[in-house]
Amino acid sequence: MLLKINDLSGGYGSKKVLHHINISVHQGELVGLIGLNGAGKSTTIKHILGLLPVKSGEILINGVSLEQDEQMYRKQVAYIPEQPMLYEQLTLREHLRLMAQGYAVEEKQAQERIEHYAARLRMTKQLEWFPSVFSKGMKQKAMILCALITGSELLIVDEPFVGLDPLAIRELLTIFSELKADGKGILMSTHILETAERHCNRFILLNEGQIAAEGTTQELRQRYELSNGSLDDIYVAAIEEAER
Amino acid sequence: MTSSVLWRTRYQTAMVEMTKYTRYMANGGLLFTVYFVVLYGLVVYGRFLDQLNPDFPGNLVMGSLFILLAFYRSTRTFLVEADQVFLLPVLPDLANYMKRVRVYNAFYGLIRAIIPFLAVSVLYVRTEDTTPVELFVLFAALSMVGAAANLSKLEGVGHRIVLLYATGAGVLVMLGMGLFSIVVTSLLLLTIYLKKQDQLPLMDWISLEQESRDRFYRIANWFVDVPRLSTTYKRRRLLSHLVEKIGFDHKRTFDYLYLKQFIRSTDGIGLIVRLTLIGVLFMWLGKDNAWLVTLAVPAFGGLTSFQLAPFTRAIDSHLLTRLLPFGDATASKRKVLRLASFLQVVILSLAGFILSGFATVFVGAIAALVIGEYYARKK
Repeated sequence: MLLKINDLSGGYGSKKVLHHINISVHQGELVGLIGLNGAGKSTTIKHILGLLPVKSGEILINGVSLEQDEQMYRKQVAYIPEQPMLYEQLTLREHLRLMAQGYAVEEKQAQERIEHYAARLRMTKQLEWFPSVFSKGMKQKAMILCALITGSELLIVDEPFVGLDPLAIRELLTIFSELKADGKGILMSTHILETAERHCNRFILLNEGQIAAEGTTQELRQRYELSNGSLDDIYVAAIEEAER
Repeated sequence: MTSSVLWRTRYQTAMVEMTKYTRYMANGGLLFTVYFVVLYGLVVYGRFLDQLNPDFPGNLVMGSLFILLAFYRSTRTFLVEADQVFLLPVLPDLANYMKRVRVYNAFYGLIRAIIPFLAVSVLYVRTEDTTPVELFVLFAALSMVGAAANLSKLEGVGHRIVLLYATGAGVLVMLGMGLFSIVVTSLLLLTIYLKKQDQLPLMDWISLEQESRDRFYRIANWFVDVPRLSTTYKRRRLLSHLVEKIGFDHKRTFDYLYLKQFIRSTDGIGLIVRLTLIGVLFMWLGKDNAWLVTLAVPAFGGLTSFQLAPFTRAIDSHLLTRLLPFGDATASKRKVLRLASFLQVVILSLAGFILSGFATVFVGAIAALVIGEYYARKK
């Protein structure tokens, strides 16, 4: 199992946001993390990335926790944040070199990945640009490139489609499919349920820091007795049930 | 919201913010170094004046001051980004607010002229036949240049117009017709008055405020973390090309990141170049005194090291930096600081030795390296 979260409780300082959650992501799997604003999606992601300390429970990536081997843990996970955060003083190509170097990617392989993914996301021309002249969509593509260049086993993705043009969304989804076929795992937080329904293998629905529902679209339909219901319908039903 | 209420709230908020950061700055160790350098500068300048030849062209220095002062323009408008939405309904009623902003900036321009004028006037009175009236007129004309430089930015008047008039006034001073300089500077203010904007140029004034705040925060950032400080970076192709030569080794990840930051930011290599040039200038002014030349090396080396020490602060908290699995950030930071300190000390000591011939500068160099090492090791 690529990502295993066991009985995780956590949050910011003394404020507890997550309550005993269990999540798993297998190799070759795209898991959708969905929930209302403030449900705990971003907090979960920050815990996985080691940006917030775990209060109780454990997070393992390929059986390794952050405390056991920080370098090994971090090397196996890459992140695409919702808000693009780039170094103002580095060009896009320099960002990609830095990420490749920092994730111990071979130089030749890094060069190949840079050219390959930049071309696919139509960013070749922008490789020598500074982020200050990027549009919002370009910044988001730059963050996607930074994550893809690492070749990490697990990709954590937070609202990846915000600001992207339709062609880029389509290409990103194709890349996700290829990564899955290559045995990588992806945990994706999103509010775009229609796209998620078509591409995710499973869903985890968070509500107030707890897992309200979990499973494939088919399993969730059975669970909420919505035989022809879309993920939208399931989502609404799950939230209503959780709030009752 | 009326103009006066808007002005009062914005001005008070800005002053509270400035006071807060100034207090942090006053607590920092850099102030000691700054005081030291200022005192050192005064001693060096005093000695220079004592030995001044009466044939020294004081009028050229005074004339140049007119041009130099016009080069720097700084304006505060106290507007914030959200104003582009919330002030729109009252935009036609903000004439009084604009007036207060103009008065503030003109006054600030005048204040900015005082210290340079005092510094140059003590030289001027020793070399030129002058009268109190002429000195007063020169000060008034210089203040007008300071005020006009700021106001021109507010009114969207080209910088070249200010520079042109200031050069005209400066040339008159250089030719010994200083009393006439006030005519030229009055014409400059009149030109700006005629071009003044009727309606508040909201977007432009918001950008001016942002620019001005950034400048202040960049200084404050030497002492304390300033959130969301936006900075501009230069590409510096040659240096950047050299940094690209760093081996593609995961252990050297932070060497690459920090050196790029160092060569691109104005607080990195730009800072060293500026302080080294000022240091060399000080050594030239005090070249007859072994102590002054020797002390200049640790004074400017120390000042540079102190200011450079936090140069990685902004990127250390960056998300991408925190996610990087490999590399030794502390070791890389120390490496960059040591390299920067060493290069600067070599340049300063060689310059000191060439200018003065005193071998004691090398003692100063050792002291400077020790100070540099202290800041490199400081967490």
